[in-house]
Amino acid sequence: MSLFRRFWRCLKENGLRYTLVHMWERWGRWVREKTVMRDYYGGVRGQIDRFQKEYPARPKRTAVHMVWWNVKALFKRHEAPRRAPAKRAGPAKSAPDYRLTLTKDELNIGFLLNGGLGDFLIEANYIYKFRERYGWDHIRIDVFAHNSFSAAQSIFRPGSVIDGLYPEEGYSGRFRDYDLFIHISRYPDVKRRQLDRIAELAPEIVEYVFLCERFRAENDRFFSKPGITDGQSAMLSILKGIKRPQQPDVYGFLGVTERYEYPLGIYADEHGYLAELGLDGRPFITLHRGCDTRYSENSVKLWPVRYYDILIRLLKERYPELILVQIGVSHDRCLDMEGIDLDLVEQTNLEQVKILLKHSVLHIDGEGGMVHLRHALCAQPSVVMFGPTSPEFFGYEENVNLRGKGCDIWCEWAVRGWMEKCLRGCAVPPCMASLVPEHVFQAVVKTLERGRDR
Amino acid sequence: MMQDKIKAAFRLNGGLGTYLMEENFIQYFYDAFPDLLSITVYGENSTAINEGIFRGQYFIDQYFPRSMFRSDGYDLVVDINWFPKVMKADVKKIRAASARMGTVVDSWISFCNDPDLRHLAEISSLYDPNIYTYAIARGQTRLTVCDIGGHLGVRRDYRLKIGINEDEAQVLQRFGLTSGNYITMQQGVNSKCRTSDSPRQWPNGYYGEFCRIMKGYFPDIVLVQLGELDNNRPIDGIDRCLLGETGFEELKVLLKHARVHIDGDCGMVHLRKALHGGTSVVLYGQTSAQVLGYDDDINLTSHACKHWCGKTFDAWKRRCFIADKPLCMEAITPQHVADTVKAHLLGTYVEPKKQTVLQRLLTDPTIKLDPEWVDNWLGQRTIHAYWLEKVKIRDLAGFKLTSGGYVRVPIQEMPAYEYLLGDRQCYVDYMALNDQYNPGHEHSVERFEALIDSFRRGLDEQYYPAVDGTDRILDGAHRACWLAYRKGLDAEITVLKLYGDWRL
Repeated sequence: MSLFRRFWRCLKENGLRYTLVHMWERWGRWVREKTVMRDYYGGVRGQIDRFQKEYPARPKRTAVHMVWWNVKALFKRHEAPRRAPAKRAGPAKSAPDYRLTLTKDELNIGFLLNGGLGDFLIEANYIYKFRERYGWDHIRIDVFAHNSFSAAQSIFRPGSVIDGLYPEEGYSGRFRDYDLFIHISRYPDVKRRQLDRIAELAPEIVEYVFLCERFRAENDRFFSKPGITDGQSAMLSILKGIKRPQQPDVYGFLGVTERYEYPLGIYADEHGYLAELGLDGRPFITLHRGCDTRYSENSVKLWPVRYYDILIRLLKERYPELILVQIGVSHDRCLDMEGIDLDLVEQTNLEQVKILLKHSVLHIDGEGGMVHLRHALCAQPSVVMFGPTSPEFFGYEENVNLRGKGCDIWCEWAVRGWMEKCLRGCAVPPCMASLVPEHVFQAVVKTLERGRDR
Repeated sequence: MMQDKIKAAFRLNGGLGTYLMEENFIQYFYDAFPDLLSITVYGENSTAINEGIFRGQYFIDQYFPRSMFRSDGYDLVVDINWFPKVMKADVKKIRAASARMGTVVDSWISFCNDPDLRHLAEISSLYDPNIYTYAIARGQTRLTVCDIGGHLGVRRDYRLKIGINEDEAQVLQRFGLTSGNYITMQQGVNSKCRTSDSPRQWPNGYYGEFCRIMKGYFPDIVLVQLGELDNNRPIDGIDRCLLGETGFEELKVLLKHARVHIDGDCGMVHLRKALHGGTSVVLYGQTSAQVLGYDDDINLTSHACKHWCGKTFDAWKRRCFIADKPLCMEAITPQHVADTVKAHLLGTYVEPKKQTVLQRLLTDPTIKLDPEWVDNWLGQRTIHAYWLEKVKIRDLAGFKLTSGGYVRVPIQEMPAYEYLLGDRQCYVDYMALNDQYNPGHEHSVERFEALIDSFRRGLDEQYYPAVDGTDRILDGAHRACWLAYRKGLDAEITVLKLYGDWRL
C-alpha cells in the first residue's frame, strides 16, 4: 500500500491528531533505522548470509553489494549493540572446548537441537534414521545442543551416529560453515543448504531438503510461531496416528516408528552401581515426580505428591518385597514422597539414572523425559500419569498411559505458561487430581501381574 | 446535569455467525450499563446484512459498514472477535462514569496484555485451535468465552433476538409454506470457503438419501433447501429448492418458522438461534460442537477422527487432513440423522446427558448425605471420584481445631470420642474454642447429646462417614466417633471415600 493511501486510511479511521502523531513516530523510527547501526559485525554476517543465499554462484555480485553496504555503514552512527540478557549459568559453560573440523571432502551437516532430555532422545532417534538412510560415506553430522548440554552429552557420543557434539553457545556463528544446517524443535527446519555441494556429495539428500521445505511451506505456523502452535501440531499428529517420536519425520520419509532405534549406551558399571545400592538382583520400582528445569515442583504436569504417598502406602501393603526408589534431580523440584525405601533424589547422575530405569521392574511417573529415557533404554513398561499433554501423542505402547476425567481436553500450549498454572485457574489441576491413586494402583497391579505371568 | 454517555465503538470480525455472537456480547455489555453507553457498531460491509441484524436493536445507536471504521471521537474502541480487544480507551472517563465499567474494561485490557493469553485476543484465525482448547477446558462456548472474568454473566444461549423486517406471513405465503410443516436444510458452507465441496459439508448424496428416508417417515412434510447458488449443490429429492432465491429477510423468516433446520456448522445455525427459532440438527466434523454448538440444538459428531482439525492447517476449508473425503462427515449416516430428526419431531428424542461425578453422587440411591453439609460444602466442590470402602476405624483421622489452627489428629484424639469415653470437659472446652474461633458454628454439647440419642435408637446404614484420600474425615466425624466407641478402634466400618478439588 502506498504511503499516501496508508496516510489517507489512517486519517479516515483515526482522525488527524492520531494520524500525525503516528506518522511522526514512524518517521522517527525510520530515520533512526537509516542513520544508526547497532551491531556492525552482526550486520555484516547477516548480509553475507543473505547474499550467499540469493547469489550462491555469483560472489562478485555479493562483493559489490557488500562494498555499497559498507559505504553506507561508514556514514552511520555506530552504537554498541544492545546487550542480551545475562544467560543462565548453564551446562554450556562447562562444555569442553570443541573445535569444528569440517573438511571439503565431506558433506557437512549440522543439527541444532532444542528441548530437554525427552526431546533430545527423540531427535537422536531421528538423526539415527537419517544416518541409516544416507549412510556414513562422505557425510559428517554434527549436533549442537541449544541447552541442557550435559543431557545431550549423555545421549550423543561422537564417533557412532554423529561426528561431533557442541553446545550452541559460542558456535552459532559457525553454523553457516555447514553445507546443510537443520534446526529441529518439533520439525526439521532447513536453515541453510548448499544445494550444489549436496548434489555433488550426497544427491539423495536433495529430495529430503525439498520435502522439509515443502512441509514448512504447508505448515508455516509451526515454524514462524514455534511453541504456541505445538498443541496444534500435536492435534494434527494425533489425527494421523503419529506419536511424538515420529513427529520430526515429515511425510514419514525416513520411516521413523515408535520403536526406539538409536543405540543409546550406558557409560557406567551397571551391576556395580546396583550392588552398591543393594538393588542388584532385587526387584525395585522407580518413582519420579518432576519436570523441566524451568518449572517448579507444582507444575501442571505433575501428579499431586500426596497421591504418590497414598500410592506408595498401597504398594507397600500389597508388595512388601518390592523396593520403592525415588529418583529426581533435586529436592526443590522433586518433593519428598512418604514411605519411599530408597531416596536417590539429588544423588544420581544421568548415567546412574539410566541404570535404575533400565533395571527397574516398573517406572511410575508423569509424562516427561524419564519415561522417554526408559523407553529408549529398554522399552519396559512404565505407568504414566498424563494431564495437560495427550496420551495419544506422548504415550508409548508398552506403557500404561493414564489420564483422569477432570478436564475434557488436554491443553498443552493452548496458552503460554500452560505448564506453570492451570488455565482453568484451579489450584489443583483437575486433569491430574481426577486421576486418583487407587486407580493408578490398580493399573500398577495389573502391569506387575502381567510382568510376572510373562 | 446529565452525565455524558461513554461513546463506545465495536468493530466486528468474522462471518455472519460470528457477528451474531459478537452482537450478543455487545448487548450484554450494554445491559450492564444501560444509561451510560452509546454504542456504534462497525459490522458487515453488506448493508442488507447490517440492516438484518442490527436494525431496531435498542442497544445499538448507530451502525456502519466495516469499511467506514474510524476510531476517533470514541471513548472506548473495541475490535472484537473471540475476545474484546481494546484498541483505545479513555479509562479515566470510563471509571468516572462507572467504577464497575472501569473494572470490566480493565479486565479486557489486562487479558490483551497478559503475556500468557494475549495471542488469543489477536484478530487472526491462527490461534483459533488454541481458543477452542481454552474454551473446552474451561467449559465455555463461543458465546460465553468472550466474557472475560465473567463480569457480564454471558449465558450459553442468546439474549440477542434478531428482528425481522418483513411481514412473516407474507413471506411464508410467497414460498407456499404457510402450514409451517417444513424442514430447512443447507448443504454448503459459507462462500468464503471458495468451494462447493468443503470438508465441513455433509456429502450431497447423504442429503439426498436423508430426503428419501424422511419422505418415508413424513410424506407430508416439505423439505426446503436454502443457501446461495455459488457454494451449494441442489439436493436430489428435495421438495423446494430455494438456492439463490431468498433475500436475507426471507431467509430469516424461513429459518425461524421451520420445524427443524439441518446444517453443518454454519452461519444459518447461529442465525436461527438468534431468531429464537427452535432446534437445529447440526452435523459437526472439523469444528468442535463443544465450543460452537448450542445446548438446545441436536449436535451430531461422528468421532470418526480422534480430534477436530478446524483451523489447524491452512487448507482446512478445502481438504480433509487425513483422507480424500472427510471421514468425520462421511461417518454421520443419513439414517442416523433421519432417525434423530424423526425422534425430535415426534418429541421422543432424548439428549444423552453428561453427569458430573458430584451429580452422580448426589443422586446415588445407595448413599445418603447430610443435606446441610451438601449445601455448605460438598455442593460447591468438584468431585473427581467416590466409592465406598471398608477401613479400620483406627486409621481414620480428623481435623481438630486448636489455638494454632486446625491440625490433623487420629480419631482417638477427637474431642467427640473423648466425650464418649467420659471426658465431658474436653468437649465443653472444645466448644468454647469453637465459639472463639468459629462464632456461629452449629455444634454444641446439647446437639451432640441429641445426636447420641438418635445413634442409640439406631443408625441409618446409608449414612457413611465421608473421608478424603488420606482417610481424613470430611463429614460424619461424630458418627465415626460413635462407631469407634461402640465397636472399638480395630473394627472395620464402611466409609465414603471422596477425591475432589481440595489439597490433601
